[in-house]
Amino acid sequence: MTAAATSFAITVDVNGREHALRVEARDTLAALLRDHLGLTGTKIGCGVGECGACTVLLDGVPVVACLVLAVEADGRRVTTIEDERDPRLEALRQAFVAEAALQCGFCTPGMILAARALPEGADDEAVRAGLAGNICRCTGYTAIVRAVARASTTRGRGRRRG
Amino acid sequence: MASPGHVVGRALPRVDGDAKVRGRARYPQDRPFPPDGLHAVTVRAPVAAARLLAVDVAAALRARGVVRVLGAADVHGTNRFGLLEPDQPVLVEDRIRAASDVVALVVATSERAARAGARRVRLALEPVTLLTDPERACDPDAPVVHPDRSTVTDHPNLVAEARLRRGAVARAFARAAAVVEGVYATSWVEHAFLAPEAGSAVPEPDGTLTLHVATQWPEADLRQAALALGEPRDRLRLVQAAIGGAFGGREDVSLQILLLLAARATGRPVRMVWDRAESIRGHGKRHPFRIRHRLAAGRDGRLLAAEIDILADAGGYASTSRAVVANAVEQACGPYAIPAVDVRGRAVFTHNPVTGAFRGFGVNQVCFAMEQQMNKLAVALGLSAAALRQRNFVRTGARLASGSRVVTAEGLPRTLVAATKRARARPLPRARDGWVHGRGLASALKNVGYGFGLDDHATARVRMTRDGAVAVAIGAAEVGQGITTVLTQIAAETLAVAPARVRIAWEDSSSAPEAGSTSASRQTLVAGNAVRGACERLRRMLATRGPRAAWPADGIAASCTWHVPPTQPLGHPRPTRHAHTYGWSAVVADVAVEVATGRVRVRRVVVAVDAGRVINPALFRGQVEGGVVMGQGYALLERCAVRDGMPVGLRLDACNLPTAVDAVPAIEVVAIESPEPCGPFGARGIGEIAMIPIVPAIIAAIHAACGAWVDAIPAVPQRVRAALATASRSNDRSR
Amino acid sequence: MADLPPLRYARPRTLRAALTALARPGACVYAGGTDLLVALGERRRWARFVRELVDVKGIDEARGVVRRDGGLRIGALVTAAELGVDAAVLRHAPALAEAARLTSAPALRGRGTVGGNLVTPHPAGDVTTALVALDAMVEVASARGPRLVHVVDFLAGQDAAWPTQRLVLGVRIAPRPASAFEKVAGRAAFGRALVAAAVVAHGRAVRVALGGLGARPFAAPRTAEALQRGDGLATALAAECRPGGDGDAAHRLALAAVVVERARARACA
Repeated sequence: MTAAATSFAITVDVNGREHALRVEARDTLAALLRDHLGLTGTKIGCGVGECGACTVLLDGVPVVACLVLAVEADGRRVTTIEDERDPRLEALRQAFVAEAALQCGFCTPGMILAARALPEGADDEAVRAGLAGNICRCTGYTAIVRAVARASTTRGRGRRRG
Repeated sequence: MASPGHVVGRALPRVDGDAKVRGRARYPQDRPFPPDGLHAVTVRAPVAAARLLAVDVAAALRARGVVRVLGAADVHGTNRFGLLEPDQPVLVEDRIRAASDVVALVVATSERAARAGARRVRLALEPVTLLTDPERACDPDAPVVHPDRSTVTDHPNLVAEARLRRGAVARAFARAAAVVEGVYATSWVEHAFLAPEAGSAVPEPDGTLTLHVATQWPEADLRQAALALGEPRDRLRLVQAAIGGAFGGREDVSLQILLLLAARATGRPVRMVWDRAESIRGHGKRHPFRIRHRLAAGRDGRLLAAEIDILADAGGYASTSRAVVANAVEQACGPYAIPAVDVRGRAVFTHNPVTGAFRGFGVNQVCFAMEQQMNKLAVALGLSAAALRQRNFVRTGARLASGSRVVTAEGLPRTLVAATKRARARPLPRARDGWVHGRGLASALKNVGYGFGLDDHATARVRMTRDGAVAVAIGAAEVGQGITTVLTQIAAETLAVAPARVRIAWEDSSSAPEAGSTSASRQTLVAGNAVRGACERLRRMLATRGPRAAWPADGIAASCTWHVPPTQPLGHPRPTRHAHTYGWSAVVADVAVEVATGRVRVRRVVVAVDAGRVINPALFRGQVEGGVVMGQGYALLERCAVRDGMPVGLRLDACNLPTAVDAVPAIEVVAIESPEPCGPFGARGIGEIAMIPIVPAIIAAIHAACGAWVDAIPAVPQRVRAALATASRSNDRSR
Repeated sequence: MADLPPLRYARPRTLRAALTALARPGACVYAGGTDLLVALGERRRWARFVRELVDVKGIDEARGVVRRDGGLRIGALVTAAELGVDAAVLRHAPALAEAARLTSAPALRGRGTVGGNLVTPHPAGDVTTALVALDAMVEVASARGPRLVHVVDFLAGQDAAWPTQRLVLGVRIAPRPASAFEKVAGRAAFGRALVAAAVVAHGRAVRVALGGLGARPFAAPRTAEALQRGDGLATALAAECRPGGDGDAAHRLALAAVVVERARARACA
C-alpha cells in the first residue's frame, strides 16, 4: 500500500472469518461490510459519524465504520453485530431484549458494539459517557443503561450477592 | 387493578427483538437488490420558492450510467399528492414552494452514477417574493403561495381555520379575580428517526408493481401513488420489513411515488436511499406555533374563561396541517372544564419547510401554553399547581372546554396524585456551585384515535391451523413502539394459547387487511380491538368444532372489523364528543439551572400515565421513557434553523438531539390503570401522552429554580439568561 | 453514506516517502479522517482539489508521548482518546488532557489526532485551544528536517491550506501543571464548543486561549491580563473576541467570562 492506487486487494478478518476482497480507495469500512460482504447489521444513520449507528470494533476498539476507509481494515480484525462467537456480546444481546432496551432497533447494533467496548463493571455514569456517541431516538437510554448493567458479570443478574 | 391475564399484563420480550439484536432485521436499505437494478437520486431546487423555467438534463443524460431523467411530464396520472389536500407535486412543473420539492429524478445503473448525474442537472429559476413570516401570511398584500388553489378559504394563504366558542367569554374576563396573559412560541423540530428513508420498487411479471418501503400508513401511500401513476390501486403492492422509527415523519409520502414512477418508466427494479441531509430536507417538521393566551379564574381558582389564538406555520404545502390545527384547538384548554372559551387556530402557508404529523399532533404546543398559564395562575392566586388542577379537572361524563363529553376521566386525577406523591418522596438538593434547583408540574390530555367524525377502523383476520399455530393478519405498522408484540399478547390471551404460537403478519398490503395509520396513539385501541374481536369470534367457532384432526386442511378462520364509536367534527351543531377516547398523564420534573450560563440539567422526571390497562409493562415503560427524553429535547435542545425558507442544519449534529449524557438519568414511571371501556382488556394508547406534559413541567421547574419564565421553547441557555435578566429587572422595579 | 469522490490512497512507511507523496498534486494528509472524510463526502469547496489520501498513520516520527527537555513532545498521531489518559499529559499539561476528554464523542476520540485538530479549520478545536494556551511549538516536516513553528503562527498560515499537504510531526510543550480547560457546548457530546477556554498559569504569568470566539482558537492576552488584575474581564473579552454565526454575541461573551474564570480557578488551585 506504499504506492498510491485507486483499488487494493485486502484481507480482513470479520467476525473470525477471513475475507480476501478488492476494494476501492474511496470505499468506507461500512460499505465493505454492507455491500461487499452483505453484512447489513451495521447501519448507516448519518454517514458522517454523528449518530454511532455504524459502530463496529476494529481490533477491539470502537470506530464509526462510515469514517474508516475499507483499505485501513487490511490485516485487521473487525467485529460486527453478526459476531456469534463472543459470550459477552451475546450477554449484551440477551440483556437488551430482556430489558426492552430497543424499540425500532436501528441504533441497536451500534449501541451493543459500543457497550461491548466499555470496561467491565463500568457504573451507570460511565456507561452513559461511553455511549454518548450513540444516538437513540426511541428509548430515552434508561433501558439501555439497565441492559448494560444486567449484562455485566460484576453488576448484573449473575452476580453473587455476599 | 384488573385481574392479571396469563399473557396480557406480562413483560413479554418483544417478538422482533431477537432479529434486531442480531442484526438480522432488515430495514428497506438492507434489502438485497439485483445487480442489474437501477438507482434513483433526486434533484431538488436550491431555494425554497421560485418559478421553475427550465430543467436541462442533457449533461445528466450523457453521464456514464444514467438511464433516464424523469420530470413532471413523466407523471401520467395526477401530479399531486397530499394526505388531506393533494397539493404537492410529485415532480415540480413550474412552481417551487418548499425546500422539499423534487424537480427531477435521475435514474442510473449505480447510486454513484445517479449522484454524479444529478449534479449535472441544470435548473433555470426565476426568483419570486419569499413569504417566511407566518404573521404576514394573511395580510392582504402577502405573496400568495398557491395562486391556483382550489380549496376556498378566507385568504389564499390560509390552509385552514378551526374555531371553538362556548359561553360568555368577555363577561367571564370582566368578573375574574385573576387574569393571566402570555404569548408562547415553539419552533420547527426534526423527527430524526434513525433510519433515513429508503426503498425499492419492483415491476412484477404480472404487470403489477411492488414497493418495499417503511411507512406508517400503507393504504394512504398506495392511494396517493395510484392517483399519481394513473393506475388502479390493486395493481400496486406495498411490502414492509423493519421500520427504523417514525414519530409521525413517515405518515406523508416521501419517496414512494418517485420509486414507483421510476420502476414504471424503466421497467426495471429501482432503489433509492436517502442520506441524512436529504431525510431532513425531505419530510415535514413539527409545526412552529405562536399562541396568544388569556386565562381567567375566580379567587378560588376555578377557571372561568380562556381566550386562545393559535397561529401555525404550515410551510409550502397543506400536508396534515388542517387536522393538526383542529386537534390543537380542540385540546388547547387542556384536561379542564372551562365554561367559556374562545379558541381560534389557523394554519397558514409560507415558503418555510413543510410541517406535518409529529408525535403529539399539535397538542404538545398548546399543552405547553396552557400548562404554563396554569402554573402562572397558581402563583398569582397563591395556590399549589396541583390544587389548581384538581379543582378544574374534567370529570367523567362532563364536557371538556371543547364540548367533548368525556367517557371516562377517572384516571386523570389519579395521575396527578401519583406523580406528586412519588415526587415528594425525594427532596430537592440545595443550591451549590452556581446551580439552583426547582420542581415543576404539568398535566395533559391527548386524543386516542383520529376523532372529528373520521372513519377510524381496523380489520384483522385470524386463522388457527391443525397444528395449533395462530396466524393473525392485520396491516398495523410496527414502527418500534411494539404493536406486533401487543397484538401477539392480545391474541394469545383471547385464544388461551402460548404467545410463541402466534404470528402477526402485518407487512404485506396484499394479504394484511387495512388497519389505518400508526399514529394518533390508536393502534393498541383500534388494531387491538380488531384482533381481539377476530380471536373472540374464532374462539366461539372453535368451541363448536371437533378435534383438530377433523378440521379443514387450511384450518379455521375468523375476521373482525372494529370501528371507533362515532365522533363529531368541530363546528358540529350538537357534538357529543370530538374524540372518543382521551389519555391522561401528569409529570413532575426536577431541574437544576446554572444561573451564570443559563444551562439546564433535568435531574429527574416522574411520569404517571393512565394506560387504561398495561398490556406489556416493559413496552409501556419504554414508550414513556422515550417520550420523556424526546420531550426533554423539545423543551431544551432541539430546533431547526431555517433561513429564507431553507432548513440550514442538514446534519444530525445540528438537530441537537439528547445523548445518553444529556438525557434525564432518573425517570420514574407510574402506570395508572383506569380501564378504557371500549379498549381491548381495558387498554388505550399512550405513545403521545407520554411526551406531552414534559415540556411545561420542565419550564415550570426552571421558574421554580430561578424565578424566570421562559415562554419560547427550546429554552436554550441564552433564552434562560434573557428570561433571568427580565425577571430581575422586574424584581428591581417592584422594590 | 458519505459518497466519496474518486481517490487514490497511499500508506508510506517512512517519513521520506510521505513527504514525496505529499508533494504530488492533489495529495493531502490523511490520519483520523473524522473531519476530512466528511468534507470530501459533502463535496466542500476547499476539499475539491484532493485526489490522493496519504495515510500517515505509519510514520514513526509522529507517534507517542515522550518527556523531553523537561516538557513533553507529543506526536501528531496521538489520538484524543490517548491524550485524555496519558499519565505524562495528565501531570504536565492537564488542560490538554481535559480538552481531549471533552471533545466530540467516544469513537471519534479514538480516531481524531492532535495533528488533525491543528490543521482542520474551525473556530473551536478543543485540543488546539489548549495547545495555544500552552504556547506549543509545532514540528512541521520538511525535506531538510523538522521546522519549529509557534502554534499561533502555524494557525495563521494554515487557514487557507486545508486539506493540507503540510505534515505535522508533533508538538512540543513546556510543563505546565497549573493549567485547565473549560468548555460550554450545545449538548454533552458531539457539541462543538460554543465557548472554550484554556488557562495556563506559570509563575506570575497567566496565558489564556479561547475557542469558539473567532475564526480559529486564539491567544487572548488582554483577557489574561484582566484575569490577573482581577478586573475588566468583560471589556477585554469584548475587545478580543469575534463570536461568529449561531447564537447571539452577548450571550457567547457572557459564557466566555464564566468559562475563563472557571478555568483560571482550577488552573491555579
